[in-house]
Amino acid sequence: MGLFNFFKKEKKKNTANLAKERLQILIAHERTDKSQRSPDYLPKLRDELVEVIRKYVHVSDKDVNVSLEKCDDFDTLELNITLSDKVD
Amino acid sequence: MSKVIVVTSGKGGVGKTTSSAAFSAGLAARGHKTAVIDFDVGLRNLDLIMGVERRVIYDFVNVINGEATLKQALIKDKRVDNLYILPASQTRDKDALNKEGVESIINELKADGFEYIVCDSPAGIEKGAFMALYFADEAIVVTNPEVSSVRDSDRILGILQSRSKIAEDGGSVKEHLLITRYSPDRVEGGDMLGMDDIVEILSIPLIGVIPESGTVLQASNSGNPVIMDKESTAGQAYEDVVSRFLGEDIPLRFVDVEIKKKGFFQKIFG
Amino acid sequence: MNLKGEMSMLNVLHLEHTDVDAITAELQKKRDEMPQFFMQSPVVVDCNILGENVTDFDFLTLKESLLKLGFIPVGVRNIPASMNASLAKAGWAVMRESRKAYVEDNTKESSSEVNNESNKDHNTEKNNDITIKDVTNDPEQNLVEDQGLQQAVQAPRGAAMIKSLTVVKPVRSGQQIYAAESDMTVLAQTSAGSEIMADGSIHVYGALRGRVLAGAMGNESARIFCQSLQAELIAIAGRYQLLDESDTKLIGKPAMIKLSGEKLIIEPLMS
Repeated sequence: MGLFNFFKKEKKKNTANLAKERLQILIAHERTDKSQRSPDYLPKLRDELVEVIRKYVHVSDKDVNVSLEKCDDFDTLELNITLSDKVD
Repeated sequence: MSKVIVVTSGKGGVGKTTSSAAFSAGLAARGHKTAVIDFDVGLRNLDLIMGVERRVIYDFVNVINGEATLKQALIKDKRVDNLYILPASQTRDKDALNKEGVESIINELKADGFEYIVCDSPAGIEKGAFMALYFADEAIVVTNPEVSSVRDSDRILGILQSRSKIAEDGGSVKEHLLITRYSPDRVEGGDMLGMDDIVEILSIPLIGVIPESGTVLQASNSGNPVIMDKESTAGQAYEDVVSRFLGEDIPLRFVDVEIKKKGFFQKIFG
Repeated sequence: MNLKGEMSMLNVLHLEHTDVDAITAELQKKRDEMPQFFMQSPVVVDCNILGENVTDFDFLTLKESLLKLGFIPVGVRNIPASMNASLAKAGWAVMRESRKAYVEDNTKESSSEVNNESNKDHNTEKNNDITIKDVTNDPEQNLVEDQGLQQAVQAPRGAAMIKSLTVVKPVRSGQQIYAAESDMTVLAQTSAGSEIMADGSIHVYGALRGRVLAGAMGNESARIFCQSLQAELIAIAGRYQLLDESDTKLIGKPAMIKLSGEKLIIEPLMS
C-alpha cells in the first residue's frame, strides 16, 4: 500500500467495523432465548390486550397497534389504541 | 395503476437483494410510493442491506397468518420518503408462503396506493422463488457475466414465461436484463463474458449494467442502499436503471475501459 | 478394433413396485402404442424408487418378459451391491452410477413422455398434442418422480388437424416442448439446456442451442431446419449425435439436418 493510500484510508469511515457492530447486535439478539424474543410474544400480547379492552369499549383488531423499537440498551413498547366515536 | 416487479436470477449471490434495495430506494426517491418485499423466508437479508434490521417486529409470515396487519409489519424507511420494507421471517421456512396469502398482501398494497411493489426473490427455483415471481407484471433478471449465472437466468426466464400468473392467463411478463458485477477491464482482457454476448444468449432487453465496485460492499456494511451513494459508479448505474425503467432513454455508462489518470502523488507513493 | 466407454441413448425403466406381471402388462401397453419406436430398443432398469424392496424383485422373469416384448434388456442400476451376484446369474449387467444421468434420463423422458403424460399430469387431457413443460419442483403438487413438476399447456383442440405447432416465445433452459404427430416451428431461439421434440420436422427461426429431436416416433424422413445451428444434440428418428462430436463446419450457420441410412447429414441451408 502506498503512503498516499494509507492516509486516505484513515480519513474514510471504516465500513467493515460498522458491519461487525451491526452483526454482533443482530446475532446476539437472534441467539437470545426464543421465549423472550419480541416477535413471538407480540401477537399474543396484542390479542390479549384487545380481549381486555373489549370488556369495556368496542375496538376492532385493527384499532390496536403494538410496536417495539429497539435501541442500543433499551426497548420501547408502544401501544396505540384508536377508540372509535361510535358508542354501542 | 400499480406494478409488481420481481427481482430474480435463479443463481444465488449475484446481487438480487442489493439490486432490490437500490431499485426500490431509487423509485421511492423519485416520489413513487414503493414497497419492497423480502421473499427469502428463513434467510432474510433485505432488512440488513436496507439497514432496518433492528426495526423488524412483524414480518411477511405474521401478516399471512393474520398475526399482524400489513400496516404493522411494513417498515417505513427513515431516509427515503415513500419507501416501505416488508421483511421476511427469519424463524420460518418457505412453506409458510402460499399463493392466497401473497396475493392478499399484494392486493392490499395496491389498494393502499403503492405504485411499485418490488419482490426480492430468493435464489433457486423452489417455492420461495416461485412465490416471488408468481404475481409479477415485470421481471428484473439479475445476471453476472459468468456462465452458470447466465444459464440460471435463462432457466428462470422460462419459468417466468410458463408459470407466472400472467403466463397462465396467456400473457407474458415484461423482462429486463440487469448485468451486475461487470468489469470492463476483464471483458477487454477476454476473461469475462461481454454484455453483448449475454444479451445475445438471453435475448431480452438490457435495463442496465452495474460495474463491479467496492462501494457495493461498503453500502451493505453500513446498511444503505448503494443507490444513495451518488459518488459511486454502482450507485449512478442503479440511478440509470431506475430512469430506464421509468421510460427514459439514456446511454449506458461505466461499460468501457477507462483510461485511468493517476495523480502526481499517487504516481510517487501508489 | 477400438473399445471405449461412450454415452448412448437408452430407455430407462423406473420400477415403482415389485409386481412383475403388472409391469409386463404396462410395458406391453406402451409398446403397442408405438411398436416401431421400441422395437429392439435397449432397456436399463432403475430401482431407485424401490429402495430396500428391490431384494424381492424377480429379475429373471422381468428379463424374459422384456425379451418377449421385443426389448433388449441391458442392465440394472441403483441396486444394493449384495445383489450383484444374483443379477449376474440372471444375465443382467450391473450399471455403475456415473455421469450418464443426463443423457439417459432425458431419453427416458422423451420416449415415455408421449404416453405417460396423460396420466401423470392432471392438466393434460388424453390425446393432447402439444406439451410444454418445465421440469421444476412444483410447490403446489407432490409428485414422486425426480422431475418433480410437469407443467403442461393445453393445446387448442384443432391443433391435431393442422399438424403444425408454432412456438413464438424463446424455449428456455429446462423447458421441453413436444409436438405430437405434427411439425414444429419455433419463431425464437431455443436455449442451451432446452429440448424440443416433434414427430415431424422442426424449423427454428432463431439460434438453435438446445437439444432437438425430430421424427420422435420414428419418422425417418423428418428433418431439422435452423437459422443458426448451435444445438447440443441433434436427433432424427432415434439416431442422434452430439454436435460437438460432429465435424460439421456449419456451426452457427443456417443448416438442414436429414437422415441418410443410419447417418445424420448436416447440409447448408440455401437461402
